[in-house]
Amino acid sequence: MSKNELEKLKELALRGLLDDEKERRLRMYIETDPSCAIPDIDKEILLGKLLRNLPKAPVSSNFTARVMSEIERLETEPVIPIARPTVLDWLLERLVYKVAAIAVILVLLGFCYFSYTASKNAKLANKISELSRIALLEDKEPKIAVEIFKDFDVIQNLNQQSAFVDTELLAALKAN
Amino acid sequence: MQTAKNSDPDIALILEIKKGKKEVFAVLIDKYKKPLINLLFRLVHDQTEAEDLAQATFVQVYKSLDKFNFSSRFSTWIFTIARNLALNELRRRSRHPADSMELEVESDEGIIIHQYEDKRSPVPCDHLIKEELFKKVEEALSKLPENQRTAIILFQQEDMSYEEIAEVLGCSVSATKSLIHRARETLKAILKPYLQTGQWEEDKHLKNKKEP
Repeated sequence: MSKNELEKLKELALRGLLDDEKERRLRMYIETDPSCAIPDIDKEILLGKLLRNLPKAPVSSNFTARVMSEIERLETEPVIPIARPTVLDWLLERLVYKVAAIAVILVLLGFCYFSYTASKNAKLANKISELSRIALLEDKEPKIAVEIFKDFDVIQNLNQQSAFVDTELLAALKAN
Repeated sequence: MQTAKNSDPDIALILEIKKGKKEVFAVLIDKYKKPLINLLFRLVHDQTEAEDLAQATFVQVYKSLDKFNFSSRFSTWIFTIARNLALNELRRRSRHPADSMELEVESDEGIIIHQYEDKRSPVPCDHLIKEELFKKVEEALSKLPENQRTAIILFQQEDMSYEEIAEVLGCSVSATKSLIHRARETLKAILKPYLQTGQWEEDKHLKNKKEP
C-alpha cells in the first residue's frame, strides 16, 4: 500500500466512510507498519461512523415551493424607489456635522471670554471703589495725610514695648 | 486567483438562471436544501428557525446571483451565506433572549434541561438505544463552539474538503484542520463511555436494572 493510499484510508476512517474491506486493509497495514499507527483507532473509526450516521434534520415537503413563491413575491412586489443620496446630500451631511462642531467650539470660547472679561471688570471695579473711598477720606479729613501711616508698625511696636516697661516699672515700685 | 469556474458542478445551472430561467433555481434549492437545513438546525437548534434561515439564504442567493463571479464554488458560497445568517440570528438571540416554548425542568444537579414531546410510536429496544445514542451525540455536538461545530458537520456530513470548509469559515486550511481535530477530541472525551465499550454505561445500567 502506498503512503498516499494510507492517507486516503485514514481520512475515510475519520469521515466514517470506511467499509469493512477498507477497514481490514487499514488495520492490516497498521499492524505491519506500527509507525503508521493511528492513536485510538477504534475510537476514531467509531466516532467517524457515529457522526456520519447521525440523522439529518428533516425538511418540509413544501420547502422548495415556499422559497420559489417567496422569490416570486419579491419580484412582483412593486419596488419603492429609494432616493439615492447625491453628492450634495453627502456634502451637506458632512457640513452639518462640521458646522455643529464649530458652533459648539465657538459657544465654549465665547463663554470663556465672557467669564474672563466679567472677572477682570469686577476686579477693576473693586480697585476703583477702593481708590474712590481713599479720595473721599482725603476730602473729609484733609489733615490726615497718608504719611501718618508710614511709621505705623513702629508706633504699634512702641506701644507694646511701653506696656512691657510699665509692667517692669510697676514691679520695681512695688518692690520699693 | 484561480477560479472555481471549471470545477464547479453548478456552473451550468447558475448560467441558466442568470439568463432568466428562474425555474432552474428550484433545482439548486432541491440540491442544497437538505445539507443547508441540516447545518442550520445544528447551529440554531430549532427546526422552524433552521427552515426560515435556509429560505432567507436561498432568497439572498437568488438576489445576489448576478454578483456571483465564480471565484469560489457555489456550494461554499451558499454555506457561507447560511452560516452568516445563522450567526446573525444567534447574536440577535443573545441580545433578546426569548422564552422557550418547550417545557423546561430542573435536573437533580440544578441544570435546566429541555423536555420535548415524544411523538414517536413504540419501537423496539435496540432502536431506542440507538436513538438515545444519537441524542447523546447531538448533545455533545451542541457543546462545541460554533466554528468547531460547523467545521465538523461540513467535514463529516457534507463531505466537504478542508479547503472548502476553510472558505466557509473564512480561515486557513491549517486552522480548519485544527478546528476539526479539537472538535473530535472534545467529542471523544464527551462520548468516552460509548466509544470505549460500544455502548452507553447508563444504557447497560438500565438494562441490568430491568433484568430480574
